[in-house]
Amino acid sequence: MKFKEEMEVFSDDKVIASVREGNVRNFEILIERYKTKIINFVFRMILDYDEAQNISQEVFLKIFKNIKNYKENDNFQSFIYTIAKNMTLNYIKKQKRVVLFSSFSREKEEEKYTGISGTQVYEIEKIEKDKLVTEALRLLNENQRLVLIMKVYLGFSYKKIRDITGWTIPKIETLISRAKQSLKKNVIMQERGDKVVK
Amino acid sequence: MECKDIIPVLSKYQDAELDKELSENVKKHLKECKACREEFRLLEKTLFFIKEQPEVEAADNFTAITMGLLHNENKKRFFPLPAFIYSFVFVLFFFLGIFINFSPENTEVRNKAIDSVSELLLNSQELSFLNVRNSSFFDLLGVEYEKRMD
Repeated sequence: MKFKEEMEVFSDDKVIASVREGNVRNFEILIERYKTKIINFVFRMILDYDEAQNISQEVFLKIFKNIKNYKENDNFQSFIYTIAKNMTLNYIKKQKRVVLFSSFSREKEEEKYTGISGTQVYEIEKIEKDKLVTEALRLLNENQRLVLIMKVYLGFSYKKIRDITGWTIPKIETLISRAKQSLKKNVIMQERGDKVVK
Repeated sequence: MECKDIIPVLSKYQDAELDKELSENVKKHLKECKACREEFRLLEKTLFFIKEQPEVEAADNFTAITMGLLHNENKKRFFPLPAFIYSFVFVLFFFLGIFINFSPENTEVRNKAIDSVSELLLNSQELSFLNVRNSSFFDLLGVEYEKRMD
């Protein structure tokens, strides 16, 4: 136990090395370090809190399985976000197929979304604002959402996004710019709404 | 620079991804041009709008559940070979039981047959611990044979 406490101050690479040596319990340190980041990334991609928990767990499982492929001194962040990106895009692809056969899914998603309040206590106002952003993000396609999340919430540079997604920088530029343009419409509508209220 | 050159690069400017010279030019233009400034203000407000979304927290038992999944995954490795290999070995023994009934007296034929089978089995290292020649499996077959002879 003392050893684990000592590990907590070590770099990712050192913790990973110890996990590879067979100290599987030390993987817990990596989960604690990255769980909030991964869950937020997955949640913003799929916009479903409960599913985001499940997918994030699978993301960590996959990181564990693939930890031998991680090369020391590589960027561990890029490594985990590449896995998270692949899993969320696969999930969205599968969901799209399901939606083709089920017209209820949209209603269901909304039900699930309000379910957040059951799991976590938000103030009503916050939920409303949250919902506005969520609905706006829902209007983007998954690729636009992906680059926007990486740029805005994670603060990644275009180069880093290129390394994770494998897309070219001009493609990333276009996706981000289009995403902003679609969201801008929401902002304009909101401004007009505000003026009417006043 | 004119407005038509500015608008397409505004998003990149906002993300601080333009090179220094171009970035300075855009900055200068924004100071002078009201229309472009309004466009940029809207972009800034857009980012502010989505940044407002609060972070979600992981469920309390998230780490525990994930570690549980991970340990299950580790346990699975107790059977390191694909399932069909185990079933193949089982079926092999099953058919051996049906087709090979050796007389315990006829040791020469018995050993020959066992050698050929054990060679086949021992080729896969995982089964080396079985030591087929001494296994009671064949002795049991012999006992069965003797009983029938009675």
